[in-house]
Amino acid sequence: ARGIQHTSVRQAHRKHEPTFHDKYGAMVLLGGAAMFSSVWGYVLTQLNIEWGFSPVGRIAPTEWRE
Amino acid sequence: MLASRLFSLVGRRSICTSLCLRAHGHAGVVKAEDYTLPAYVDRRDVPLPEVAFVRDLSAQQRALKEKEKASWSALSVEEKVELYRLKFNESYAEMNKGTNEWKTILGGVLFFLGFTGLIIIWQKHFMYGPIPHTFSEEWMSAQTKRMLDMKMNPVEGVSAKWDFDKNEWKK
Repeated sequence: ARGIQHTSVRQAHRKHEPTFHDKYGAMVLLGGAAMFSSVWGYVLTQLNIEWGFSPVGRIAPTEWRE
Repeated sequence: MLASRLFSLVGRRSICTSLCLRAHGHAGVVKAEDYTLPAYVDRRDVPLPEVAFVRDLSAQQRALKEKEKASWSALSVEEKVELYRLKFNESYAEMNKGTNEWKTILGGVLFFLGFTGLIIIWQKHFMYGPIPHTFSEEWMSAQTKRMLDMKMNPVEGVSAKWDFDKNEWKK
């Protein structure tokens, strides 16, 4: 990218302004992870959605003949 | 021949136009655009850009440039750094430095995936009907026994995973 042509200020390079990612990045990451895990934790366990898991290792067979 | 005849008709002056303006060097009337000049760029594969970073030097900086023409051992460390910063914007270390952008990106991705989960919650609550009765515990266990009794998928499927001697799922 083209550098900004200007008369150099003595302190111009000493300290770059913190970007959005420096200021809020960690917060966004943790907030997003918390939201994701809470919502999907609820969806996967509490919502009573039939996921159709295999009966292997899960269902104890019972008699079906009348 | 014909062109010169045309000139004499129209008048030589008017043909000049923009070409003559540039040639006469009318500063400020038509000057070269910045994008047409060699540019400074911070790139790892361009170690020495075409121009120095700072174009217009203050009097102090011009004095420093004059001092640079003499022996370099006469320069102090601060002066050397100042000369470097006149020539370059970012050092290689600054150029190569990573950012924290990945945190924002990953956080945003997870957020919107979480939003998808909210949509599923809404669907389950307002849209989906009741689960078919064939998914109840009693039906599923009876169904499983029937599958095993008829030896369904005995090679790699459900019957292959059941131990018929011990009457339990294979470990």
